[in-house]
Amino acid sequence: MELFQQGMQLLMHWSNFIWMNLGLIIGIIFGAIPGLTVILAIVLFLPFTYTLGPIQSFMFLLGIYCAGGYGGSISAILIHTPGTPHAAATMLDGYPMCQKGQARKAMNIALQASTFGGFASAFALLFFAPQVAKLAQKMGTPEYFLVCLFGLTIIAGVSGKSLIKGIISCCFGLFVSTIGIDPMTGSTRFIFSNINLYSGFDLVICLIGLFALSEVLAKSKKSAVNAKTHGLSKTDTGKISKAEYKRMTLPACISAVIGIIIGIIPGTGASMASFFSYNVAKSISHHPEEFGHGSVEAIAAAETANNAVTGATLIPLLTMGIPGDGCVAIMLGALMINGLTPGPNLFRDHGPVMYAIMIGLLFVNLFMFIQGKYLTGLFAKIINVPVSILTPIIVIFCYAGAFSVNSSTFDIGTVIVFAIIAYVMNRLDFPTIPVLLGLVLGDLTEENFRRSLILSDGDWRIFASSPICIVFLILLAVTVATILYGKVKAAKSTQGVSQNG
Amino acid sequence: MEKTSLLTRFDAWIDGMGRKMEGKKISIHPNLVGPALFVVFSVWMMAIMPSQIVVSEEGAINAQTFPKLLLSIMLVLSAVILVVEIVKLVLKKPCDKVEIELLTEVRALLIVGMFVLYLVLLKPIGFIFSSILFACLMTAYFRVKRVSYYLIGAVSAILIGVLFQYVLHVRLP
Repeated sequence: MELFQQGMQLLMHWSNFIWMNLGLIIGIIFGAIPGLTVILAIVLFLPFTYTLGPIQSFMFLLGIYCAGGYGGSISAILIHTPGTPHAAATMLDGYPMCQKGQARKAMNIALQASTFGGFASAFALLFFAPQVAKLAQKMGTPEYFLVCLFGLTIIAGVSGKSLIKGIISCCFGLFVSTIGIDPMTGSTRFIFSNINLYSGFDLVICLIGLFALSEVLAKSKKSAVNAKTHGLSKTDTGKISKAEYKRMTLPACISAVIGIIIGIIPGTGASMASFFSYNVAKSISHHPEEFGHGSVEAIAAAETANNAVTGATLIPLLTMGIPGDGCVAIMLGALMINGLTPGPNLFRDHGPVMYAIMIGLLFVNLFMFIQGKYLTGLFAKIINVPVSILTPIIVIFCYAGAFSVNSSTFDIGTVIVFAIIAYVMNRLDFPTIPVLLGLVLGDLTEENFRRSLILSDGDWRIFASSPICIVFLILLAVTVATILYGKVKAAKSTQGVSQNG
Repeated sequence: MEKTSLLTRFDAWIDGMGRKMEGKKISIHPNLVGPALFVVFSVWMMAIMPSQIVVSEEGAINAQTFPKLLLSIMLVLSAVILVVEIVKLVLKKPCDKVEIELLTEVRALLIVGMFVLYLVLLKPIGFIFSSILFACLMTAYFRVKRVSYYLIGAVSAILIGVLFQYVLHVRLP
């Protein structure tokens, strides 16, 4: 309770709320414009947090992260193009509702459901994270290595068609993270006598190249950007009736629980949560025939679930340093810049700051609701900003951000190289998010792997030496078996479709 | 008058080049090219590892252990994809193919060229001026004719420069 009060005191500073609201506006804009992603927004604006404190930084980034989820639904409803992948489920019913002239109502449901999901998730973070942190304090290096390995199973969810390609990409990311001086022995690794490589590649530099600048390179493809906007009609008041609220309550509650559980498990993500909740809502609905044709329950379920993931993904990040998804992996950088190393000791050493961040998430959702309620009309217009205006601005931001890390033009060159690598990998169907995971988890994985083996004199049985290790090994086995089963099932169904076709 | 006709002729020349390249496609096997690149990369890194990571300490677990393990996994998995794809080709089974449009790749190269030019100009002419130049070039790349778009790009470049330099106190080139 004392930590809670101290956290509350730290949070109650006007600058935290300004940065939070700024993040929310940016998040909604980036989420709403198709082609701009939440991950891109976080990468671009991460350098802004260098001069900020940990609470301001996190309020700003959490604002972007949470509002991005809601922003994605705006374009999904208005132009049949989800601004973010996890708004795809919202699109299935949001767009038909928009075609019926109820765009404002659909956006209202999406906003209220997103806020509800966000609140549920923030409470889950507030109550579960300290307990998980206590458990994490009992872990040694072998347990930690297995947790990292478990965290790397996230690649299954982001590998696209081929899991093997995902693993190769992840190994590439892990390999890149080893470049520079070895922290354990001081030997240099793959620096090619280049003084700039002594400290290895900075995570932010790699991210700007892999996800921001590569997006600009992707603009070389001729694509249909001229999607037609339906806009908001004046007769559409957006009012939700009592009967509709009644219909949405149960699916929203179930979706919040689904979102939280999925968020805690690394390797899942908001897209999976929203589609899973959509299916559950359909199966329990008294009007399943409305799904796909503008169902209020469907929008509520999908939007609640994808925002319920936001706070839950922070639980493994803050307690063990394992990011639940790509966006949260980048936020790790903001914590580390402020000298806060995620892990079991974070709650012990920086308890008030952690509580301030967790309580702050509640306010992030509150302000998201206020901004969404009063600025919906404005946000609806933003999705029409031409790509030709946005692209040069993104690149200039990338260059300024990359230079600000070490005041070095070498870093900008590195950004270009990583952008080319990402472009080539995309062309050859190799996913790039596993590279990010490798980069983020590289140091932690290697350190615990080597320490464990040094402790055991090279005996691999150390990884099954304690009850926590065994629990994680079982979890790993179950996860891998589930992934393989899913892949085999998907391959069989694809084969069946192609044979029938 | 002469300027306008020069610009119009340049525009027509670009259109002509675009038309020539449009529709020209190269078909590649992503499951052959990608894994082959990773095989080459892993073998090369393994070959130079002794010179790049000088191990002084004794024992089996050293600075080379983790990179070696990763490169081995990359090598084995890439080889697996390669072999499976080659078997498919030999048995004439359907394989994944990616069609690469020549025009798209030329455009991508052009963008990379602009990135490099921007980087090269950063130190000699400074961040703000090189950013204005890049914004104009990038807007021209999209074949935009509206002057207002160029102005928005230039003003944004100045604003970003001022924001980083004077608000965030980042020393830009």
